[in-house]
Amino acid sequence: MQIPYTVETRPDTGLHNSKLGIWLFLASEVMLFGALFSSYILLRINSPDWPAGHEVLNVPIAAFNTVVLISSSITVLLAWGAVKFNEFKKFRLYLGLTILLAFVFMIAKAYEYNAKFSHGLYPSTDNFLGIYFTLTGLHGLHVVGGLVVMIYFWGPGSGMFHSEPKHFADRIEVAGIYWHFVDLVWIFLFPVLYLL
Amino acid sequence: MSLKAFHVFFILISILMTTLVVGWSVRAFKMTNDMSHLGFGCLFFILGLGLTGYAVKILKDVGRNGTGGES
Repeated sequence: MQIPYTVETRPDTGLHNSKLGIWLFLASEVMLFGALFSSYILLRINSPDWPAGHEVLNVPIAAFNTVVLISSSITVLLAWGAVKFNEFKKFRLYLGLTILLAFVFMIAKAYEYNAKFSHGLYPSTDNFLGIYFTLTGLHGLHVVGGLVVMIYFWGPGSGMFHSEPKHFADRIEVAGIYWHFVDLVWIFLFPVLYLL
Repeated sequence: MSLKAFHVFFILISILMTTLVVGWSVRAFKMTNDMSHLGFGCLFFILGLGLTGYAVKILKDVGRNGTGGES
C-alpha cells in the first residue's frame, strides 16, 4: 500500500506530508531554543556581574561564521532551484558548496571551543560560559544533523533525482527549510551572545 | 510556507541583524575610540547593503514567479 500525500498535496492542508512534518518539528525546535533563550535572559538579569560577550568570546570568528551561514542559505536555495529545473550538475555543485560551508562553520567553531578550553574556560566556569556552551553546542549539533542529511542527498540519496524528481525536489526543499531554521537560530545567537 | 518564502524572511532578519551590529559597532567605537570596532561596523554595513540588494532582487523574482511552493 502506498502512503498518500508524499508527493501530491492534501486538499485540506494544501501541504504534503514532509512539509507538514518539518514545520511541526520546527515548532518544537522553536520551543526548545525559546526555553534556552529564556534561561539566558533570566540568568543575565539576575546576575550582578554578567560579562560583556565581546570581552570573553571571539567576535571576528563568530562574524565570519555568520557570513558563512548566510552564504549557505543562498546555496541551499540554489540547490533546490537546480532540482526544480532538472539540472543535476548544478544541484550537486550548490549542495556540495552548502556542505562545504557547513564544514567551515564547524571547523571555526571547533577552533573557538579549543581556544576556550586551552585558556581553562569551561561550561562550569560561570553561568555565562554555561549558557554559551549550551546554546552554541546545541546549535552545533543541529548543524551536524543538517550535514548528515545533506551529505546523504548529495551522495547515495541523489539517485532519486532521476527516478522520482518531484519527490526529490520536495525532500531538498524540506532539508532547505530545516537548514534555514538552523541559520536563523545563529542569526539570533550571534548578537545575543557575542555583542550584547 | 515554501523554502523561497522562508529564505526571503531569513534574509530580512539577517538585514535587521546587520543593522544591530552596525549600531553596536558605532556605540563601541564612541566608548573606546578603538578603530577596529569601526572597521567591524563598516564590514557589516557592506554586508547589510549586499543583503538588501539581494533581497530586492529576490522579492522582484517572487513578485514575478511566486514563492515556488504550494503554500
